[in-house]
Order: sequence, then structure tokens, then C-alpha cells
Amino acid sequence: MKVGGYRPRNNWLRRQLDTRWRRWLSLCFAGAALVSVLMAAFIAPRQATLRMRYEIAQVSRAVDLLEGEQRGFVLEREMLTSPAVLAADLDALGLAPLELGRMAHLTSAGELVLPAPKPTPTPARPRIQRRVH
Amino acid sequence: MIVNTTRLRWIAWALSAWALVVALRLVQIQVIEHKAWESGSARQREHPLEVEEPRGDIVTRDGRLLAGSLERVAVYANPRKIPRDAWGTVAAGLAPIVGMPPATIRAQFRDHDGFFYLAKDLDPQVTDAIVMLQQRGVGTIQTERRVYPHGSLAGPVVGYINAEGNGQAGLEAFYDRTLRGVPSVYRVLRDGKKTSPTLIDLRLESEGRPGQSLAVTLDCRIQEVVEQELARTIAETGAKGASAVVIDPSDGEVLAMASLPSYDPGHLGQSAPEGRRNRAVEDALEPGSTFKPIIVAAAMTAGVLGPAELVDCSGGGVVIANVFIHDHAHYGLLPVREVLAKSSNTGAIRIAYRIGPSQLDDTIRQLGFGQPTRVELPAETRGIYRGPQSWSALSRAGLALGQEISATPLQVAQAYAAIANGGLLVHPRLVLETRDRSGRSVTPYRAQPGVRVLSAEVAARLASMLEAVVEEGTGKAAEVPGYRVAGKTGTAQRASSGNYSAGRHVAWFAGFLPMPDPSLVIVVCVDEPVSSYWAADVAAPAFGRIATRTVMLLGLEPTSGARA
Repeated sequence: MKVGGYRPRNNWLRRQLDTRWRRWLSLCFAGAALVSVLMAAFIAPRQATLRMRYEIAQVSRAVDLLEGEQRGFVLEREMLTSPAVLAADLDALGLAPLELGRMAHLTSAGELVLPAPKPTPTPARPRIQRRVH
Repeated sequence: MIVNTTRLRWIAWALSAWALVVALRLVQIQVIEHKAWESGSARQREHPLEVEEPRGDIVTRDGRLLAGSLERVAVYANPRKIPRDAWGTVAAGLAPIVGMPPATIRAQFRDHDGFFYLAKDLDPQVTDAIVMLQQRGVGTIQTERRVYPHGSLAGPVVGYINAEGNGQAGLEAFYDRTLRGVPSVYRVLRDGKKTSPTLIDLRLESEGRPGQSLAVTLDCRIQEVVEQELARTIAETGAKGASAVVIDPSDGEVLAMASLPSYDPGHLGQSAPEGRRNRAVEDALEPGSTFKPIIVAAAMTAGVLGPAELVDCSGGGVVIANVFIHDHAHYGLLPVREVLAKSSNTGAIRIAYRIGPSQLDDTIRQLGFGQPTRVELPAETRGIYRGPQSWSALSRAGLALGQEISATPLQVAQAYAAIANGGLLVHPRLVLETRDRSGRSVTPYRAQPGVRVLSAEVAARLASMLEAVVEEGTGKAAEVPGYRVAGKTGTAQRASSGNYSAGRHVAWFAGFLPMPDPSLVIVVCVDEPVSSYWAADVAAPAFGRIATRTVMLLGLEPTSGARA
């Protein structure tokens, strides 16, 4: 059955759009930007500090290794300059053991006492060989 | 509708009571037992990690390093934590780091069921390479290698440490706590399998303290001279061993202390057990005639012996308690000076019997015999000396000959130092100060003031008498050209199983120079020389050589009026 007459229509309705979305979106962006700025302000120095700490750790490690190497060299030098080693290499080093008679002394009065010169041995008289004809 | 409120009330009460119990339990856990639960929780997720601090050095007074430490690294592996199919790759990665062929490393993985050290004593730089591998079950442990750059020089004084880094002998043992410092303790987070995945979550619980270094009184140059001359003496006389001590009588500083045969603390396995003791403080031997000056000192202190008095040394000996004790010759009447110069047994015995037992005992004890010198070395013996309560009728005669008493070379040096120091006894010492890592002094050890044990007059007279021993007596071989030397020889028979052994002797020489203001006391003790056992032939020449070279090293001014 067809009923004529009034038929409800909604074409007269105007779509009601919420126009506040721009404001909300702007607010969100602004909030995000604010948070980002705040985080950047907080994190950036922290990040820099962290990076610096790692660098310090690396440099400290390098210093430790170098100090270890230096210590190794010091110990090696001690071995090489040990009195026993030097005594064994006396000739090679061009050194001679000191004798008591060759020492100069500084007295308590500040006077330098030089060792008494050893008498020069009298040269042996040249033997003249008699020519035998 | 009728509601049974009684039942509801009971339920409400029951629930309230339960809630109360829960609340009380929470209060107990959170408030009352808070610390216990917190520490229990920490124990579950953390574990302490002790990191040893570097061990301190041992440095001589002339700046030479006798002992130092090098940081090293050990690489460990735990095959149970490495997947079997990855063994080949891991071994290939480890090979260049530890310097082993991959096949050997794989074989080691097969042979070990758990944790084991793959390589030890590696350069610390390998740690970075191991970290780069990022392999579970492989890691590094920081270790330390003790280095003794001068080898066996002063070995028995320096001592050694064991594999765990604990001092076992010498200064290393005596000052172990000072040298090793305090380890740092870290808290490390660990996972459910009780492993620490990384060491990032380290929390320092207690900060450690690096070991302090020891600055010792030894002079490396004098030590070398003494050891060289002792080695020469052993080679020339065929002696079993020898020891010598050089000390400064004014403050007791030990400039050299040698004991041969010796050992290299860095290569302990290569030394014989016989050489691992410090004879200068651990061997107590009868001092023989070096003890005669102590008898004379006691007699002069007791006022029973005048300096110019003549002592009857005739008869070639003396009878004490029906025992005839021989002398070296028939001397007749001798002044005290010559009793010592000729080392007359008869003279010394007659002097000893003038002194009352308690007076003799006092002087012997005051000069440090029968008690340790308190030098900073472990295992120092106090020697053997029994007081008058256990003396026999022959005891004073025995003491006059340096028998019935045993002393270490350091004890004899201490007593002679008291004579050289004008009658003031100073205990010998080996440590000048402790220093921190930067070389700053932490604990300076100051010399204790001397204790008067002899009057200055007695000490001066005795020193003058001892000078005669070197000038005209048994100690001529101890002469140092240009310097006035005082000293005394001593030849003692070695006692074994209650009797004196005829073929085993100990040769001593104890003396000081340059007179009249001595700055060096030297004691030489040669154990069981073979070629000649007389101290005049064995110990006195060694003393002379050591003294000559030492005065040169120290640049001591020659004594005016001394024979050049």
C-alpha cells in the first residue's frame, strides 16, 4: 500500500561539523612541540654528559694502558741498570772499577782532598846491546 | 524479608580480622623487617665483586725498585656456556688473541667441563679484543705479576708472594697488608641464572685503597757489594753459606743484609730450599770470640777491670771446674787491649770469672742477646741464651769463648753498633717510610732514641781496644787503607747433637769504621768454610773488602793518621 502525502526527508538537515578540530590539533602539536623542547632541553645535556663519560672512560682506559706500559719500561730499565748487570758489562760500557787510592774526598770543612799521585815508575834503562862484530 | 544480620556481622568481623592480619604482616615486612628483606632481595639480584688494588712497590733508599707489579690479564672460558657448534668459530676468534692454534683451543674446550683459564699473564690490551668477540662463556680477569728487577739481590730480605698474591717471606710477608692495600668492592646485578650479562650495572660499595710502597733502608749499591764479596768468599773457601749485615750505628738503619745462597723471588722454583732462608736473622750461631768484647764490657761496667790492668794469660790455658781449657799460646801477663787483640781464651775466661753472674747476665741481655732485634722481618730468631739460673760451673768460661750462647749476625751487629754508638743501643730497622701511589710519604718511621746500655767511657775504651785487634791483632786482614777500623774476629765450632764438631766451623768478623766516629757497622759470618776455618783468614778479608768498597761508595772521608 502506498501512502501518499508527507514523507519525512532529512535533506534539510545541515551536517554539523565540529570545527574545533583545528584548535585541538594545534593544541596537540603545540603540546608535542613543548614536550619535545622540554625533553630536548633535558636530554641533550644528559646525552652530552653521557657521551663525555664514555669518552672519559675510553681515555682513562688508554691512560691506564699507557701507564701499564710505562711501568713495564720502568721495570725493564731497572733490570738493565741493575748493579749486577752493569758489573757484568763493565768492559763493554767502557767503565772501570774504582780504586780506593783514586778517590777524591770532600772534607767536612769543605776542602777537596785529591788522591796522592802515584809515583811514576822509573823507566827502565834502555839496554844497549853491544854490537859484536 | 527477614535478614540474618548476625551472620553478616560475623562475616564482616572475619573479613576485618583478615584485613588486619594482612595489614599487620605488611607493616612487619615493610617497616619492621624492611632492612632484612631489602638485603635479601639485593643478595638475590646482586653479588659482590672484589677488585684487587695494585700491590705497592719496594724501593731502596737510593731509589732502586726491588719489587714492583705489572697489570696482566687472564683469559678464561667455560665450554658449557658456548654452543658446541660454535666452538670452531670461537676458537678461531680466540686464537690470535691468546696466541694459541685454534685446534689447541678446541681441544681445551673438549677437555674441560666448566670454567678454566685458557691463558694467563697476557697484555691488558687483549681485554678489548675479548669484549669485541661478544661471546658468552669467554672473558677476562685482571691479574697482577710481581716483578723483581734485580733478581736475587736482597732476595731473602724482599721475600716473595704466592700465586694468590699473599706475602710468604721477607718484607713481602711482614708488610703484606700495607703492600696489598684494600680491594674495592662493587655490587653487580645478575640475572635469574645468576650470571652477570654485563658489567655496566656496577655499583661501588666500598672504595679500595691501592697498596702503599715501602721505602727501605737498604742501599742497592752496598747490597750488591756485600753479595759479591760474600759470593767470592764462598767460592774461595768452599763455605756452605755466608751472611753479612751493614748497619748505621747512629739510627740502626740496615744498609745491606745479605744471605747466601740466595734466591730470585721471581723464579722461586729454581732455588734450593737451603737458600730460601735469611741467615742474617734466622740462623742463630755461636759467636765465638766476637763475644769476648761483651765480656770485657761487662767487666768494665761492673768495675772489676781497669783499662790498663794486666790479665794473667800464662800457662797456655786455664783450669775451670777440673776442665783444662786451652789457649792459642802462652801469653803471660797481657793488658786487656792485648787480650782482645790476641783473642786470648785464658784472659777472657779470667775476666769473665771476675764478674758476678747477674752483672754479666745484665750486660748480655742489655746488648740484645737472647731476644729478637725487632727488625721488620718474619721468622726472626731470638737466638739461644739461658740466664744464670741454668748456668753450670763452666758456663762463664763458655760465654767468654762465645759458647753456650747463639746469636744471629744481626744481633751481633746490634751489640757492636751499641759500642760504636757510644753505648747507646738502637734497634736495627729496614723501613724508612711507606708511600702512596704518587710517591708521597704516608707513614715515616722515625728511629727510636737509643737506650744507654754501656757508659760512654766504657764504649770508647772498648772501641779503642777493638781498633788494636785490626791494627796489630787477629783482624789485620780487615784493614781499610786510609781508615781506622775496629773489630773482632771469632772462630766457633759448630755444635751438632750435643757436641762440637771438629771439622765444622763458623768464621765471624764484627767491626766498625771509620774510627773515632763510626758510621758503619759490618758483621760477616761464614758458615763451614773448608779451605781455612780461621776467621782471620776467611771473615776478616771479606770484611776488609766490603768495608773498602762501601767507604768508596759512600764517599767517607779518610781518617787522619790512619795507615794508607
